[in-house]
Amino acid sequence: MKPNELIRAIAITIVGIGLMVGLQPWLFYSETIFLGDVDLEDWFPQYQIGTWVVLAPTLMVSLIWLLATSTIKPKGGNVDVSTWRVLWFLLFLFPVLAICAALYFFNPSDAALIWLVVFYTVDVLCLYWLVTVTSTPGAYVYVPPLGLFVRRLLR
Amino acid sequence: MANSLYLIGIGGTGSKVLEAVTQMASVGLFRGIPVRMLFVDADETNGNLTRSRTTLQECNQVRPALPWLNTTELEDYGLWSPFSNLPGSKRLDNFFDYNNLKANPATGGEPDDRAKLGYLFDVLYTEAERKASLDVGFRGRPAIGSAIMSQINLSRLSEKPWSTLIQRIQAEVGGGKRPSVLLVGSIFGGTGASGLPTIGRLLINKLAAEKITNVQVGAIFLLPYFQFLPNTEQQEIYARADQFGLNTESALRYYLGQASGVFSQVYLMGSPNRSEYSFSTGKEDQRNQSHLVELYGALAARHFVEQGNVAPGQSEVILMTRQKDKSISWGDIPAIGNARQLLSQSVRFAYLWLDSFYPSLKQAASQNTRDFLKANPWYGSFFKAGMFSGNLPGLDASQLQEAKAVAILCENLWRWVSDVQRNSSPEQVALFRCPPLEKLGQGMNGEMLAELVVGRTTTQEQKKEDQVGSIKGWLQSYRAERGGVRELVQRLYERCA
Repeated sequence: MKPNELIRAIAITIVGIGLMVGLQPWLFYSETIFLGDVDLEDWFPQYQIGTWVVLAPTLMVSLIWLLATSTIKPKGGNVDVSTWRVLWFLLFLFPVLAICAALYFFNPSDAALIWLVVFYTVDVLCLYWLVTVTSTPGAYVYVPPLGLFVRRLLR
Repeated sequence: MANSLYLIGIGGTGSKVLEAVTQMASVGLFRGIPVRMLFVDADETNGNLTRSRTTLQECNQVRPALPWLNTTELEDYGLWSPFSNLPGSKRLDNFFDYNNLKANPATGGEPDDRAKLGYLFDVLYTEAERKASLDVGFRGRPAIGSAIMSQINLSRLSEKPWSTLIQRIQAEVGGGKRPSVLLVGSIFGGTGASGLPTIGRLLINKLAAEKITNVQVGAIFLLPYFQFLPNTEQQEIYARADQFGLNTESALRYYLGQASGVFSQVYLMGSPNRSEYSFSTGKEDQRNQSHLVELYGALAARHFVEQGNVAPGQSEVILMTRQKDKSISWGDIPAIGNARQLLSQSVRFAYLWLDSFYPSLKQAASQNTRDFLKANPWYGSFFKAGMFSGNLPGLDASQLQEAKAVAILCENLWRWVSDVQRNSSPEQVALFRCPPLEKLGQGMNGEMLAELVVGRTTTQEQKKEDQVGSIKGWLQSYRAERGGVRELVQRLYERCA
């Protein structure tokens, strides 16, 4: 993995975690986003658990993807794009399922639902898609969706 | 421009050394040294000769497609036969008008001078030798060849292609250059053994007659390095491998006694471990595989251009040795003109090109560019592929033509190197581990690169660098100036050092 790819991955991950544990909770806690159907003191701990339910698997699949693409050398340098694209989406399933679990088990507020869907989706896109599309190393560089556009833009 | 090298290949074996020179020129051994070749053979359809000239023509055909390829200018002056422009069939008796010599045989009294010549002819040559057709060359009989060659005089060197060659030498000398002329041939066969000192002496006399000085003339004498089983069904005169040693001894004795001083420098090379070839009387069937000794012949030619300047009256003996009997490794290849580096780098490049990159380019031409680029990100560094491609060229017909021309050069080199490796037995040539040409581009994907050159020092780190994936990763990050096949070839070649 090249140094600039590593730096991008770390920087975007820090920004994503900052969004999830910093900005988004603040938006609820400061009542910038007002939740009228729940007591914030009761809802907030549930929300934080839900946040970690989404954050942990998302970080894990990003790490798995970057490790796999850094260590598995394609034969003759030729990537089987279709197979690896399928793998990317299979890994993507985990954060998606985590979002569903977080919304179902750790959110008693209907008012918060739409916001949580949007926030969790942005978080997963940031922590998984953006990390992989900007930092996938080597011959796998164009495998993540929109990789061809994003990586050539970054060149 | 540097001084030119004029190579005159005499006989089938001489033409094989010229083929080796062509191959070594294609890897850059003669960079900056124009090489001009003339072939001498009585057997105009000799298989060795044909192959050598075909290789030369192919190299010259592809060079215009690759004007940026810094290889040597190779000029072919064509073939000259001692029988050219001579009437009648190619037989010894016809050549010397034997029938008229014996037209008035002695009847009782003293035979006349012409009849005496005829009787001498009977003593020197058997009936079979007198009547043998020389369409296939001199049949490995130096005695026959010598008789023919001895009749060549200076006026024959006014014919083409000799006149063209001599005029060119004259022009170069007039321009202040010092061209080198090197004659190459075997001294155990027919054409080479008879032609080498004779043509050498004639050429020097011709140059002197034309007042062309400042030309160094040398020779490579090839000693026996192959043999073949006699064809016991053969009824005609043919070369006999069991007489090679005797022929060699006689030729060397003649050279020492009658022709020493003709050449400024003489290279002797052969092998006591003779390879087995199939029997052939000549023509298209005489198509011997390339051999290690011919590679050394090419290296000798390179050495001659640089260091063949022995002062008149001086003599120099240079010995070539090797580390182990019956085995040749990189330490046994002389470091002339950076030969080791050039050969190993070129073979590594040829492997990468034929096994990985050229098949990939052909695939790219037949596939959607975006799909190909996703699987082969290195492609976008050299060819136009959608947005953000800058001024890179697309993989169009002219680019594919260049790629194919490079592939032709690589295939020629690969075939020759594989032949030398495989067919120099019982000599074990431990230079490369070459898979067969037909296996390249069939799925190996360049994975043998790290093991291709025998004895190449490799740490784990170097082995990783020699992985094709690593090379493609490096190309992926490369910022091409002009892109295209040219820049791809140049970068790959540099990477193969």
